[in-house]
Amino acid sequence: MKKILEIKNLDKSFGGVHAINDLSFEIYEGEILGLIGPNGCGKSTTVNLITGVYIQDKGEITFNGDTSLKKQSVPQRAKMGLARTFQSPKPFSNMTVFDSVYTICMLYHRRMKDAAKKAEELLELMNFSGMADTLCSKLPIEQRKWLDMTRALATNPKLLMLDECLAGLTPSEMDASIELVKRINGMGVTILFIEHVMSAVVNLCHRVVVMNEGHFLSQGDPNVVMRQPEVIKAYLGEDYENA
Amino acid sequence: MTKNLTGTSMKKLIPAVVFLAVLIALPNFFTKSYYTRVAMEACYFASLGIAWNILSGYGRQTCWCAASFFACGAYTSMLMYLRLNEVSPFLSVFVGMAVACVLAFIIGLPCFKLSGVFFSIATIACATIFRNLLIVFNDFTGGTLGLAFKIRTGNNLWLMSFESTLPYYYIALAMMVIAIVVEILFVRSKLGYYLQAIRDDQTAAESLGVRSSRVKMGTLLVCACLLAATGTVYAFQVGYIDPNVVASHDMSIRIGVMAILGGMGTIWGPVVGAFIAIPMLEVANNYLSTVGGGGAGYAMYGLLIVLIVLFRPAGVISLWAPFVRWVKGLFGKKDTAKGGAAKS
Repeated sequence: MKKILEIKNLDKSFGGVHAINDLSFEIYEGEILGLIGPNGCGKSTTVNLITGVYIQDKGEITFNGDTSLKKQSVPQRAKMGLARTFQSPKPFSNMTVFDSVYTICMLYHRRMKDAAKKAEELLELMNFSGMADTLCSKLPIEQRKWLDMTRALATNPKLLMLDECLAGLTPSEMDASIELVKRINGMGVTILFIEHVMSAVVNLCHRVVVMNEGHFLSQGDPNVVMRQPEVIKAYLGEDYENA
Repeated sequence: MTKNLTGTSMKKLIPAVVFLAVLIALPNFFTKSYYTRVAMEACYFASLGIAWNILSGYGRQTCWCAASFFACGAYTSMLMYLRLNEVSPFLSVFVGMAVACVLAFIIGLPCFKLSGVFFSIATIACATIFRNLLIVFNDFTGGTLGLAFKIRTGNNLWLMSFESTLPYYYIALAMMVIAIVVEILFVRSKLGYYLQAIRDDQTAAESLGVRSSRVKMGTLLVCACLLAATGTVYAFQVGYIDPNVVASHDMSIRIGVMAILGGMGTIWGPVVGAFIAIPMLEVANNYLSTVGGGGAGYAMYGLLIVLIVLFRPAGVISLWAPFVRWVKGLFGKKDTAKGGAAKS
């Protein structure tokens, strides 16, 4: 399989805090890779380094064979095909659902008519039929998260990073969200799935990478990795093993 | 869904058409040219407020150097008329806009690296520098004495010289209509959508590919052009400009107040604000001119603005939707409108 993203010996410090320490892993085209680990282990920092919010102190990020990522700004990386969502949804609160997606579609379509058509298609795909005129600020939490995903899809991403897209959802909302993630992956979009809900990680991910205190801890098949003693000790806890 | 693209329905245009028709007919109802001059000033400030509203209302980039761009247009056109053998304002307006764009680029480049209140403070500093440059280079700009036309007689549209106030009023009205059209086109353009995305969440917008610095700069250029064009028209009507009026902080604040009072981030807000604030200031100054050494009028004006900001932060325009509902209620019609006055 072709590597779509390769991270080599990544290092990032904030003052005296060594947030990412010699981190290396890769993501293969078409897969859903779970990135898991305890709170504060550097998962979101890793996403911020990939998307260009932060620049690494050391190490290299190669996306789709391109090693010049360090020179690219956040919007430039988005245009290269790196899309993300945030832990807390970030809707364009004063816009309608349609305008919110249409705005991003316009960035990737020369003609506004084409952008409108694409926005309509995406809203249909992501369960927003009949909600085009709803203000984003009026949406419940799960739909705000889906809207974040829809906007990210409007960028025609090659790699979509979903940062805790199931946090704060009820079981039925989680099931609906998992279906959407599967649907997005089915469209050929590679996904980096950051999550604490282990049942969803096992259900969705082809592989997982485990991080602890900024380090790489383990990687592999979710069912195998979850049983490794070092992963149980650092992240899952003995209750998980006994469950 | 595509109704978002096709825009305002004809029904929504009726109040706007009625308002413009009233403004066109307005001088016929006035017995004194003084009232026409007040309406003309309201038109000027509506145009200026609209320009300010594009960046600061739709984009929430509160900029306090609008007077600098206004002065660019006024000075460029006046200097070209005085020093270059009476160049028509219809030509010099474009040079004024170009000069304003250069200034916007110089101001925007460092200031857009800042955000929130720091951006606002930086624009105040830039406006101060620009006003002082107009004073320092007095050989060219006339310094604090400013620039003035010699007495111009006769009517000449090409040189924008008229003996009565009426043609100036219609020119100011046309300028306001142009500003409204530019504002509507901007809001429906790609740039307008990107700016509103940045306003709502810059981090999210950038992560999706919106280049915020370019969008803000592009918007500032549009605003600078509108402000400079109004500056040109204003200079040729007044016939005298000086830095302490056209490039002052007071002017920048008055421009912003029109949009704040009427409703920031709305198409008609600055127009409503100007047509409330300017006549109100005139009335307050007339009736309270002998109170408190003449400052009571400004005090009343300030007090009203404070009250509106406190109790109606969305501006006077936000009263429109409840008013329409009330009228419909009177006639027993059920209101089916959604979304309030967010895009009035």
